[in-house]
Amino acid sequence: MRGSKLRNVSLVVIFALLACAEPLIASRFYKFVLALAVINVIMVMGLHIIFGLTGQIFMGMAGFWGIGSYILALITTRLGLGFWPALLLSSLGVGLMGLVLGIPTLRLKGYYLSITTIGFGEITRFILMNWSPVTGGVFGVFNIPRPNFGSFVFTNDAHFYYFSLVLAAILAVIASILEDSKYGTAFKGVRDDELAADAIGIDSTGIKVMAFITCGLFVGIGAGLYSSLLTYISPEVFTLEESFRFVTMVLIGGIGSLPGAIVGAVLLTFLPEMLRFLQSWYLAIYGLIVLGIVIYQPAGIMGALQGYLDRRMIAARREGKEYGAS
Amino acid sequence: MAELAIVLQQIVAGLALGSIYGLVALGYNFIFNAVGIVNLAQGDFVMLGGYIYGGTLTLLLGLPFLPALILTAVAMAIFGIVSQRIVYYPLRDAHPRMVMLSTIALGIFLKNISLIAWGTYPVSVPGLFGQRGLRIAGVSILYQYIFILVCVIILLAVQQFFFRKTTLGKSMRAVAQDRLAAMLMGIDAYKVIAITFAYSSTLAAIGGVLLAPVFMVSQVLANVGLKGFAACVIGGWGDITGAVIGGLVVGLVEVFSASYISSVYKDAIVFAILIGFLIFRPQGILGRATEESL
Repeated sequence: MRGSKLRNVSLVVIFALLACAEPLIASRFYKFVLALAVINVIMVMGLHIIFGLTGQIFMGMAGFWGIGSYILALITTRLGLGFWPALLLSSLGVGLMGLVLGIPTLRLKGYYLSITTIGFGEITRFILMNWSPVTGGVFGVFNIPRPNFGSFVFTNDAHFYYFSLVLAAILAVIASILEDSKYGTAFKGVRDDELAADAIGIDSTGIKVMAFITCGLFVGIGAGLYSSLLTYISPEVFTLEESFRFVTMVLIGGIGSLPGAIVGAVLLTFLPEMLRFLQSWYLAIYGLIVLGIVIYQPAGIMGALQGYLDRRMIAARREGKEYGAS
Repeated sequence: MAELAIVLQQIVAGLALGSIYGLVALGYNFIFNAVGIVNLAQGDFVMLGGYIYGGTLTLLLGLPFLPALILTAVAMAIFGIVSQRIVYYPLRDAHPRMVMLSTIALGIFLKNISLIAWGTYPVSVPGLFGQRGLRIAGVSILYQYIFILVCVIILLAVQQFFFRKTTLGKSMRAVAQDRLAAMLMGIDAYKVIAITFAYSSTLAAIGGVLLAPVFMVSQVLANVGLKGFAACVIGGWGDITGAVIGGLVVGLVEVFSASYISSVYKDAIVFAILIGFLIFRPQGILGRATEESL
């Protein structure tokens, strides 16, 4: 199985598993974590485009996430608009942030981009925390509505979960189509060798800005759903550690693999909850695990799977040849 | 007059903080020049240096300043060599992106292991001078700030001598200029790289030791890493003088924006200036390094 076929099969399997998981989980708390996982899946698809496909280490995910969450929260609670226009606006708003952040920073490479986006994330958090008249400061925003279809409101957590899962599946299809399009090829070209991409006529700056905007559009949707799921948001969630957690999701799954990023998102949403008993050791061990992955398994889970399938195929071919000779 | 005195006080405070940021920026630059990567755990090295000096050597073992400083520097030099063996050496042929991720992971590990080792409460270190200061004509300047400036100036002079006159210093410069050519000249480049990491970590450790009495030692001290990075960009990447000047600029901006604009947004202002530099003058104040080098 190669490239896009492996991806499509994996995506179908992952979404089928996620759909089956909800009734199998008994604890109400873990059902909630599962819903969070799906929201993280939506957001990580945005990061997959800018980091996985285009190779830019974007360390400001918490900034995008925070802005998207607050756009939906403020529009629904202060302006009284419905969930749908608010979700659209949070997606467009974060997409616009991608453009605003993208144009000045994307002429820059590597470390500049990472540090600038760290700066962006931190500035966003300062503003959310301290611009009290608008954001409510440290108290956050309350009473954020759940999504609705006409008079049917997704107050039930299971309904909300399947609603998010369907959205995530639609977005995964969109992300796959984008990856297979000429833009996907251009993204990967910029990732693998920016100079070579420039040389064959790819406008690498334009491509990076486009990847950033697309990332914003995806994250905005996930962020809006996040506010709606919690119905309450506060600014101290959107930290640099969270930004790095998203980067790690992509890394664990395998840089450049969409199903990998999704598996990474689900894993890294559950892992902190399941390893609660480690308490303060958790983050130290988490740092070590990430270090180990970067050094020993930089291709991540999907890279390992691909490698296993390749080896099996080669073994099968070799066996076939031997039978043929005898 | 009183206004002038306050400004003068702030200039000294800004220069003192800024000279530490300059040290951190130098640490970034040496590693960047030698191996072309940015050690994003540099700020965490500062924090670790502060903890080893303040938390263990001073408060726990009760050592006086100088032995504590020397032991911290030695411990951090060894730590630098060990950490480059883990986060850089196995990835030396991989994309620099992977080294960046591994240094971030190391930073997360250090922040959290220090929480376990030294607790969640900030460690307060009295330092040599406590809160005592110099009072002349209404101006009050903490002795610690003057001490920091003196230490940094001495350190820079020693460093200048080391890089110009000693064989090891010359080989470090040679590896930074052209690793392959240096190896062809018989320099053991990987040994030199390990020593470069050791030296950068020592600089970070000295920064942590000098800052410990000013700020308390806590995870927040690791933010000095971001200030040091801003100093690198503002001064111009890869440039020793630029790093120091950039550090001083960041220190002054921080102190003045804290008192005249907003103490809450002081870090945000430093970042805004950093972003401004990236857009309008990515080569930095001195403008020798080119944008393409990153």
